Amino acid sequence: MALQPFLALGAILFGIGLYGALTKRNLIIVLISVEMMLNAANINLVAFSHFAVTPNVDGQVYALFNIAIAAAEVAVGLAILLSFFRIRNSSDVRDVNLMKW
Amino acid sequence: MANALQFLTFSDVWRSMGPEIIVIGGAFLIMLVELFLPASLKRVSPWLAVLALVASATVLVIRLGAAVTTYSTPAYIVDDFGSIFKLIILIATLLVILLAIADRSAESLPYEYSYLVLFATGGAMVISSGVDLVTLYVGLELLSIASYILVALYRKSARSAEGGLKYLIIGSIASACILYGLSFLYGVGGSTNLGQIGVNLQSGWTNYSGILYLSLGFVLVGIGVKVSVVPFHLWTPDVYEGAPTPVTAYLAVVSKAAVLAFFLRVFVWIYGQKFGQWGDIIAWLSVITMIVGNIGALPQRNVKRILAYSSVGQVGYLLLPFAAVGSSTLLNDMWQALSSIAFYLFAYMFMTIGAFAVLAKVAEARASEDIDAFAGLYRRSPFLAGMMALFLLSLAGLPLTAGFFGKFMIFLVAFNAGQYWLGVILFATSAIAFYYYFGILRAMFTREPAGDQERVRSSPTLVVVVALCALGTLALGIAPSPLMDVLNGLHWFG
Repeated sequence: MALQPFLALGAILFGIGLYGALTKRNLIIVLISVEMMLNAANINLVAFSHFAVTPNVDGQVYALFNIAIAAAEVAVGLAILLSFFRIRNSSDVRDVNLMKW
Repeated sequence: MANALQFLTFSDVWRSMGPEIIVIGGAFLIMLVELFLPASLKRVSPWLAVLALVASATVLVIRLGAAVTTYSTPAYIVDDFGSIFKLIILIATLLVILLAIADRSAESLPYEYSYLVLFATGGAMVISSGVDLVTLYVGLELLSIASYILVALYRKSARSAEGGLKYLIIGSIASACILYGLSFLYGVGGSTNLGQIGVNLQSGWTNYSGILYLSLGFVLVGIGVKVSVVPFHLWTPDVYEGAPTPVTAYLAVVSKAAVLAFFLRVFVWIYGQKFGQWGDIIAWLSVITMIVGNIGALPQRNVKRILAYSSVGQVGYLLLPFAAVGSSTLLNDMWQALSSIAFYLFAYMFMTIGAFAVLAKVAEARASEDIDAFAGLYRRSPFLAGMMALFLLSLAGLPLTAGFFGKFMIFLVAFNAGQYWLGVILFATSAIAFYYYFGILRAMFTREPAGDQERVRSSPTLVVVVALCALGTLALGIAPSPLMDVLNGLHWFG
């Protein structure tokens, strides 16, 4: 195996995540897309940690930190989404429109 | 093999991370205490936070100017650059908590804010001192996640929830961009340590320049979103409007100062050696940020949104010294740029928090943040009107105020570096700023109060916050030399 397929996988995942986060209308899908972007970075880190010029374990440790942080981020995200849903009765991006310009 | 095992004692950790331990430990303690306090006593919890911040700032100031300390094969460094940013962060947090204590409106903040703000501040302090990609990213996320909750803290308000949601989505996309960029940095540098990466890259730039520019682009976009540099600033007015006013002040000052520290640390240490090839991007970002931020404020009627756009414009001023001197090979120019950035951050902190404090009180009395709520404020409260005038004139850059001297220093940096056009744009955009600040001044001093004539009563805490900010604004404007001497005497990166 070489490094390139892993980087390509990471890039594809990041691209899909960014596209989803910017275009999807359901806020839960948007949160999932953001998770995909974070995981793309994790794939990169683990791949680099194995295939780097001087392989070391730093990248894998970094990825573990990121997984924990991403969990915290999505927990807060769902909590805020819940509070938004209680007030507006909707989880649609188009309803996030009280304030403009 | 006597030294094969090295034990880490608490005093080692305390020596390097003392202020952070006080802030984060204090946050955990307040979280527990707040849980068990009866409802009538919950109002002491913000005062405990004030205590933690004062203790932390004291430890920090005592150590200012001491030799550089590193910790954990250095993932953490205590240099003057980090210390001065931490000092700004701590003072600003202190003022914000006092402002939140003073804000006793019908819809006041739940007391959870006292430890959430401390967690965010802990994250901001870790960013200022971290020299490891892991430390930096963990600090950044600690700051961001706590800020998302703070923005959405009014659980019954649709605007607060909406602002929190917007901030969360935009902010986490930005975090993901930064992380993706940093992952390439790790791949090419072969280490998560900034110093080690910098050494490895001296030979790496020629082989891997493509991948390094990719990582620079991702990190720059992410940071651009977090400090609201112009093409990525669209979330700023919405989130600032939705958030509770003390939280808005926190986002405008602490969050920006911390991410700016991240930006300076990473870009000076890692990408600095090839500055000539990307420095123009920063200069152009700074220019469009100054122009768009100040022009965007012109059509606004909501004072919070005016201040939000104005804070976007201020980021342009803060980026300018770095853009101007980066290509210079003289180390002295770099130090001068850093001291002008730090000085402007001090000025920006005092005038912005002061303006938000007055706004919080006026909006509370009128239940509106519209410019009309300020109509006839001079009759209803001469003190608040006078102070607001001072903060706005300082933000615009009138002589004898901190804002003027800060801008003048930034101008001098640009002038010395030969980037005259940046200096010209700095003053041209300040002239635009005068126009929209005068809209508020006119409403306060020349118009009749809309609605009742009742005087605005400000609580003692609010008077203290506003007076402290006014004192800072005037002192830095009239006698800037003491702070300048301190800044000029610093050894930024050790």
